[in-house]
Amino acid sequence: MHLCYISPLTKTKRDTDLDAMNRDHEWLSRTDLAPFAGKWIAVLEQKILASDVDIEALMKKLEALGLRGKPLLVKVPAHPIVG
Amino acid sequence: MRSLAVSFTRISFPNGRVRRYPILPVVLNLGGVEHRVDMLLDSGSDYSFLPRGIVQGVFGMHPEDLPSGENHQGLGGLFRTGVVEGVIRFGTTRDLFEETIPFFVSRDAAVEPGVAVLGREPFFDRFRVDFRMGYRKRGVEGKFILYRD
Repeated sequence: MHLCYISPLTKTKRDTDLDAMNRDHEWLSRTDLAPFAGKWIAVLEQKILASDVDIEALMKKLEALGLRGKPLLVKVPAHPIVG
Repeated sequence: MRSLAVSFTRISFPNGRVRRYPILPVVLNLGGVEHRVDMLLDSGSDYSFLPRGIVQGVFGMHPEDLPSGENHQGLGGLFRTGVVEGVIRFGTTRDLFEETIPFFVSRDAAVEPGVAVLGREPFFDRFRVDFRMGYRKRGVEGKFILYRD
């Protein structure tokens, strides 16, 4: 198997603040996400910063916010998931 | 043996139903670029997958430009894939796990997993996962525990 390991964007600083990410994830699991069904959301410091059905549009919204930290990107399913 | 316990994630749907999922928050590194994303642990999936949206919209890679992977059969039908190697980091700041995972990405927009998936190969080859959906304590409704083999 040939794998791709390319760098299409500027490399980012190594993100090791996993505790902050875990806090956002825990907060999300207690939050009613029904209003965001089918959308991508970005969460940082226990806040939903932005949402959009299109992730590229979401990334543009985040870019405009000029964030210092990395948000957690989550796709909220619109329907139950069958694996 | 190192381990990590994570609570099941509750997701409420517009019809009022609530479901719980084994979702792991990870830092995903593709080609030196890092973003935080949630991934579903799916022992029923042969491999690991990334949605096209993440690969294209977040990391700027086009599935058609990736080396070809195998064709895959999902519930939505057969789909062609590209494959990209990623590194995931998860756990806690003081005790983190780091794994290199080949991710498949659908080249057929109409047929693909809508969420990022960590499947059996290679994730479940490396980690034993104890799903404890019946665990209820201090507001937690189920948890899963990862053990590094």
